[in-house]
Amino acid sequence: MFKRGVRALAVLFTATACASTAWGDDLRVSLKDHEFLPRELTIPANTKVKIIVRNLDSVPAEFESYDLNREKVVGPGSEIVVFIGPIDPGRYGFFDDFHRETTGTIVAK
Amino acid sequence: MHIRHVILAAGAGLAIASLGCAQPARAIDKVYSPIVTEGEFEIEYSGNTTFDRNDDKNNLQSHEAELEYAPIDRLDLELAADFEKEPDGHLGITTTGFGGRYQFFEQGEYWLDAGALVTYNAAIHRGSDPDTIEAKLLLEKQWGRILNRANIGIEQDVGSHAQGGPDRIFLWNSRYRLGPHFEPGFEVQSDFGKPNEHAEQHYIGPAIFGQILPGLNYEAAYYFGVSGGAAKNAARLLLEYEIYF
Repeated sequence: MFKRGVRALAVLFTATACASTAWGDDLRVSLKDHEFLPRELTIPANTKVKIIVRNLDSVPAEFESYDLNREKVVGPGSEIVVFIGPIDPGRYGFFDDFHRETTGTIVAK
Repeated sequence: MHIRHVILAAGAGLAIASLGCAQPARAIDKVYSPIVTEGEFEIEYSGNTTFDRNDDKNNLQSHEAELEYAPIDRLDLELAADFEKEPDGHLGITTTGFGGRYQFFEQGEYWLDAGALVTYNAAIHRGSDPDTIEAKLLLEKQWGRILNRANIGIEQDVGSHAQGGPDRIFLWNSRYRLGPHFEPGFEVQSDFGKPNEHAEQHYIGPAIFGQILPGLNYEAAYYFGVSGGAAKNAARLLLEYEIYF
């Protein structure tokens, strides 16, 4: 029974990992002088979106959002990719965990 | 500030360890996330104990001290020491382990987040105990505010004292992300034992997760045994402190 369960999960995982999903346009946000530019991003609700975060500062930063359950370090002069969604309409905060005064908002509508 | 957090976590671990030692409640373990944060260094204590009127199943404890570091994106390495107590013995170190956790793809890139954990645990008492290899598939999926995790794996004895086939493990927890400091949920801990051994241990019960202070996280669960091999009740506590390099 255990083996059957594991096989079923493996099939489910493979099928769903390859499942098609509605994607929005890629978005870009930069970190410069400990400020997110732009500070507010608007994305379509119920759609997956790829956000490219580029750190233009000389110190590392961490893109973090409790609302979106995302936490990723972006090195100085580097960029990272963060996938979010599909999310319900609403406002979702994010911040630089290494410089907590640096904040932004994602608006899904 | 950081030193105080470490002392707090270590003190809690020692307080729980001082409750005594017993045969390990093998079914009970941390439910790992497949998500790795590059540059994150963690100091972690986790422990569990059982409660049962039967002396053979009562006060069975295991404790683990662990160091983790993610040197690159999607790869986390860990060193651990396990402490257990025989029913009529004292708390003592039983294994030291080394392992790694690998995140297969970017979080949210696909419908499900996935990764794998592999660890090798070397027995301290090499004259009587086997080494073990542990391998787990780590899965995670969030629906709205409900975060779900599953670990599916095996633990196989290796070496001259190895006996039998692999223990088959299934762990699951779900939590409602109410806020950073308190996330209520439940947990399932299942050890199906070795094939043909019929020594299954299954537990289910409420759990809470969250952040005590920035960088200091906790998990606590209280279980009800739901199989003949399990104790009537069990409890688990985890404390971890994370910093970034």
